[in-house]
Amino acid sequence: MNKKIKIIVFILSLTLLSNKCNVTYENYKPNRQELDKNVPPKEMKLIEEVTLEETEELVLHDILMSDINNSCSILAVTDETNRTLNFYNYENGKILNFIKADLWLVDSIIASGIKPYNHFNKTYKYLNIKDYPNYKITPELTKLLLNTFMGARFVNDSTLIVSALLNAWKTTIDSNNLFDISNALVYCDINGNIKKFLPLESSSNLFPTSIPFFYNSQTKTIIMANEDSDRKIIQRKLDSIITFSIYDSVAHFIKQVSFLPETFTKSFLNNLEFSKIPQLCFIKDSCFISYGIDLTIYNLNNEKRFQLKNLPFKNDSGFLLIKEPMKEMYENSSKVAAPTINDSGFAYQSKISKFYISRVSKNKITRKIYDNLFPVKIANMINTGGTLTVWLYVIDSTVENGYYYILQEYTTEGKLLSQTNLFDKKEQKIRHIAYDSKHNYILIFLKSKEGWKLEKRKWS
Amino acid sequence: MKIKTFFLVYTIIVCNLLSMDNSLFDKLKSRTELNQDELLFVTYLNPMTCAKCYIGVEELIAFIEKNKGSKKVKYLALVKVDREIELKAFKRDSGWEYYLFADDGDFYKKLDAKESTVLSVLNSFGKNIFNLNSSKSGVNLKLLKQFLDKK
Repeated sequence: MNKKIKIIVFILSLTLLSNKCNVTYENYKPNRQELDKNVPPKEMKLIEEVTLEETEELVLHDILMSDINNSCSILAVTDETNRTLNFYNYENGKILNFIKADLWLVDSIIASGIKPYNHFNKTYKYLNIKDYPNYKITPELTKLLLNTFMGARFVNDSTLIVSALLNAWKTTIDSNNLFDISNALVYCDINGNIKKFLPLESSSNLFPTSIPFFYNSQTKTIIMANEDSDRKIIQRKLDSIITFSIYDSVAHFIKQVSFLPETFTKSFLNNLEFSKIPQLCFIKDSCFISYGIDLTIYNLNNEKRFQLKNLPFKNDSGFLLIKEPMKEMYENSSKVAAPTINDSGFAYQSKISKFYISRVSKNKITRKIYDNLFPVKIANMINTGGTLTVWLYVIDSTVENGYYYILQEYTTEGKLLSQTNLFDKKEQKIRHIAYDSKHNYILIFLKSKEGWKLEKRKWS
Repeated sequence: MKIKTFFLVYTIIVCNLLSMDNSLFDKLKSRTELNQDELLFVTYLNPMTCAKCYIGVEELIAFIEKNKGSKKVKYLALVKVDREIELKAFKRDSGWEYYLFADDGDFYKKLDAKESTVLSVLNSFGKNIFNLNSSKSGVNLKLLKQFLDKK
């Protein structure tokens, strides 16, 4: 062989070898794990299939949260896109009623007497919609008030607690308007009659996020996810970032109960938005919490974690590889300007929003790279009659759609009992999974071009 | 030399043809009944998008209407929905007055736009003339004005 060619081949080999050794977060591919064949697969027998009715007035875009009443007659569903709380006949899928979270909720905020959070050390008051023209709030700016029903939980057979994300305009004594986001718990019946409207107090270090939340009928308390922007962005502390707090049944804050796990904080991943919201599940008196890409389940009662088992990939290397770019971003975020308000009354120059934007665009940690780093995510946890069923989303380029789902059933102590893989059909996708405790059914909500189907399945 | 020029022209033509998903553009053209002398302004909307982004698009359209001169333009929103029924609901709830098309994939890629693109300007052959980036509103208006002022 020609000497020159030999040298070129040698250099090329060296380059390829060095690339292979130098795995960065950008070219990382997760290693496949050996699966334990002794874990029994559990078949899910189809018992019944119901079509969820849609009308011109009520089109179901997606399901954010669902619950069934005790007598299993009513299915309640929240649709974030539509901003509705929908009630269906659980037996036949017919629409019973729906409530749209509209401008009327702004009046409810004011009627509740709650004072808005005083941003930038200024004293604010909420504005009545009828007064908007006097404060230069145009119809276009009124359009910004997109109130949303986020979660719904039955308290008894006909009453629900609904968590709502609310927008309103507030102003100072010298007419500086500011767009406000707050949260409330709404007690209502299935006819849409509001029985109680309870705003949740928020501050810069404790902002309730509406979902997930759970009403504990034993203790008459509510546990809800919280954000703590103050600690991570302003104070620049990465430990003890609050994730859940407990409120009493009239929405008074009681205490903070859960914090971001170390897997996140050690990797400078202090923003849950990037990893999917945390999940919550109650089994008898025990409260279980999970955080998307962290493949552990935290038992709030005994403060112990258990590791999920028998998964096709792990996320551990992803946490290690993302640390450096995240650290760099975190350090750069200190250089952004102090909060200011723009003409429309938005605090868009805040450190918080700049920090979030920089994560995605400037540093190019795109969704694709992120998915490679964390191929397994906890989508939800369900109390399946005393066992904990974890719904996982797995990104795997070797399967037809490039992803699939796993349902794993654990004891409350963390022993894996069974697991089942679920695959989306080309024309029909799984959008939500829930449980009917009366009949012991796994409920799978499927969306296709034709509409929504609810499959009632039973584990054999 | 002639062969080199031929290959260069051929490569440019092939690249141009490959860069645009013509089947998608044909559907958009048919939906908007786009004529040869018309421009298509395509925006990318999500029913979940914050209302501020939607208002931003309305402001851009108002600016184009004010400055378009003799240019013939049509507006179309690619809306991130799975079904036509959802598109109808979006039209009703948003009050969007122009053409709509359901985007059940990442259609922006097929129109040579980016994830951050707020508005793409296409000619009647489906060629992407330029994209406006959502995060640069000042630059957006300047670019638009320059384009609309061109004869």
